[in-house]
Amino acid sequence: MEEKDLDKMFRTAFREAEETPSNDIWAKIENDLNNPSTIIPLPKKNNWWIYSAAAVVIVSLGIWGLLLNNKKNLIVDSNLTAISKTSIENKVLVDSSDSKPTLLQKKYDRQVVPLVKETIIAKSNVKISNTSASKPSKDKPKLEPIPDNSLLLSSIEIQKPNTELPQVRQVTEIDDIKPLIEFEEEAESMLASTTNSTEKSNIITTVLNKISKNLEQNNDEKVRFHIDEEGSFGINIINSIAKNNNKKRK
Amino acid sequence: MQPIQDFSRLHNITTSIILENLELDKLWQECSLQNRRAQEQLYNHFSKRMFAICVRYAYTTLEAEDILQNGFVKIFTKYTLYDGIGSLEGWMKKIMVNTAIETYRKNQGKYTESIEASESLQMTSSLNADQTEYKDLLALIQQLPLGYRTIFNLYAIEGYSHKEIANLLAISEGNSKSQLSRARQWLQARLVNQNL
Repeated sequence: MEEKDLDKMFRTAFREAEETPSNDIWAKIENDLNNPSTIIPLPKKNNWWIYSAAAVVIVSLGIWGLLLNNKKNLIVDSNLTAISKTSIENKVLVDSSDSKPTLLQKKYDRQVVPLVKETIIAKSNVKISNTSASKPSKDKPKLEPIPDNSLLLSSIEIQKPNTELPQVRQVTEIDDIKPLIEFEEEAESMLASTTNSTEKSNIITTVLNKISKNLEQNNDEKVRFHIDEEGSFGINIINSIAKNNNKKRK
Repeated sequence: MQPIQDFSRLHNITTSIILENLELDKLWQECSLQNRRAQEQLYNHFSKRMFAICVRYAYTTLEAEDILQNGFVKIFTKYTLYDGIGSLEGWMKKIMVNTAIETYRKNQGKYTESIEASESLQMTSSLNADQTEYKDLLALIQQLPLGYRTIFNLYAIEGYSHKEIANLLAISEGNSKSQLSRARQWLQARLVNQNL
């Protein structure tokens, strides 16, 4: 007989085979089920509850952390606007009060621009965003024409309902008027280290920047702190290792 | 009129199988919930078929009954392992075979070839004309020497591959193959003697 036939013969014989055990087996089985001792049952299918609960905890912690971070940023923004608001108010009070709205606005603007410039330099490129829906003015420096344009803008702005925060426009750092050709010898910076004007900040970086500004001597070095999207701190050290070629020739 | 009768018989069989499946699903659900009455029902339904597997692997009646008992306890406590793929009976048989192998491994030291071969199992199964061949074959299996028997059972009857057997018994595939061929030779010789 061939091997496969042999196997098959046995297999078919045993396929539906039945044998009768003694009657007390079920009792023993039941006993084992009721009193589990050495047999370790598998964990029930309720396992997933634990894992999902753990996941929820972790996710909520992450969200909480993010919210905390956002809150700090918001507080900073409102702080800055509050500061600028108070300083603006002071300036306005000092000047003679003029009841005409347009005139007031004019003065306001004139003061805003330099004030904003100051704050910008002091706080090193902190963006003060406009909370109302008016269009942001991207001012590249033409200081003279500004009042005219801004008057228009401001008159429009007056029509709008008063918001609590002052009408502060979006500003960026105002560079000096540059010559068309940049001489190699007077190159201000290395190519790779251009200043990043879109840096974020929060309370900590603002404080640090203030301190570094105060510690600056002759405006030689600049150390700027910023915070990136993920909340990590960054330090920009300008003119430390890489010297520029700015040699003032007599 | 033969074909019509056959058809209706076939129809009856298939419907009864379908009914059984539905009832079985419900019963199994109850067993998963550890409903003792449902579990007893399941046991009663399957015990004979399962015991038939046990006697093929075991060396004494007591051992066979131990395998049956432990196997069913496993079935009821490890119910989560049955994922609905394949038949419930097939899964239960697997558990039973695994329990048998476990027992075999535990008791390996106790067996001595000569003694066990001579002691034959006293089966209390119902004798049926159709079953004489079955009985003889079973007796033959039970006389197979140690090791050959397990492998022959696993390969020829359960349908495991040599690779699976090697994993299960912690032996090499080559070992499994050689033991199988020796088992076959042994059986062949006996079969020729008995003119089966």
